[in-house]
Amino acid sequence: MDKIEWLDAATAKIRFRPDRKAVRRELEAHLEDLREASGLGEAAALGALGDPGEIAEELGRIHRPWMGYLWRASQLALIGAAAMYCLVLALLAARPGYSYRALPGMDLYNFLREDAGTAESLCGQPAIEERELSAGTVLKTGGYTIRNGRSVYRLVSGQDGPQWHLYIDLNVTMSRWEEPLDCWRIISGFRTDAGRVEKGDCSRVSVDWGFWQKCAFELSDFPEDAEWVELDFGYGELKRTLHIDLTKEAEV
Amino acid sequence: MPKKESGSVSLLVLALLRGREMYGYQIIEELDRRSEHVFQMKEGTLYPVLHALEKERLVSAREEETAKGRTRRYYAVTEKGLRALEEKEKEWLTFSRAVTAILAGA
Repeated sequence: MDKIEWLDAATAKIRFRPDRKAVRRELEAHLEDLREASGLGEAAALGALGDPGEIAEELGRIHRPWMGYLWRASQLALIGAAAMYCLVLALLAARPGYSYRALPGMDLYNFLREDAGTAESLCGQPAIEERELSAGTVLKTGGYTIRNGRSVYRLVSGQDGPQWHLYIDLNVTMSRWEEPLDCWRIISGFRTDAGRVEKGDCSRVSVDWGFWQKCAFELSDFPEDAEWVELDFGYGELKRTLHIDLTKEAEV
Repeated sequence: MPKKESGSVSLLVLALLRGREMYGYQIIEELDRRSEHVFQMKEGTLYPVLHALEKERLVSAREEETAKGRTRRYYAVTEKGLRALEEKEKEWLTFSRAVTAILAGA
């Protein structure tokens, strides 16, 4: 039996390849150290190292492969998921008329860029006209600080002709460890000084990112001449109201 | 390898690595020297024990390439290993004192 055969036999029961190669390198260095120190020839040094079959049994018992395989499988799964995501993006982006804003993952991107829905409404219709309103109203309730990030009057084409939508987004920060708000459920009511507003008319998107969260929604068929809109958060004694003034246009 | 024997070998290996990192061949040589040739450990015993200790995080290992192109794997005892060594030493001293007392009384 030569050195190669001995090393093969001694590491044969280590099934995870990277481990097997590392142990093989270690045993080979050991053999060379032994030969150098003792002056033994290869066959005699291999004899001194002992039965490779016994070593293989013990090493195989220690180096169980499942952890290594699990690690490798998780790496492959991650690469596979990334590749699938890229493929889905490429296929969706190739569809005619498909907006990049609707691509998976773009909600977060859009929100981070603070430009969600500038070209399209959250309901999917292109905006014919937009009127950006002054924003910044803040409501503090419990551990939450809710700030009106943007309010935009948006004229979109509906089935019965153009209609105004009111787009509102809210930046929510949590001053202590609080559950992220379910923006849609937490808003218990919409009120305005003019016309009808029903909660069910809206679209919304919510993204949470640690202690920061953003919600956006659109009230469809919204009265154009409204002076304010109020959003109620919670019920009963816990109810808090965010009053948003709709009379001031944002400074350009 | 019987568990009891493996435990004794672990104690010896951890004790040798206390304060100094060593590679496998060095450990065998050092054990032979310090025990005045009483303990001549076989490679088939040492490496499974070393790798088991590493798996239990009682020793850590790093590889280093020598000038001759050999990849040596150096082992060092960890904090957890030092605590385990203290425990094993206490057990060994208790056992040793008991055997000595019996032999002295015989």
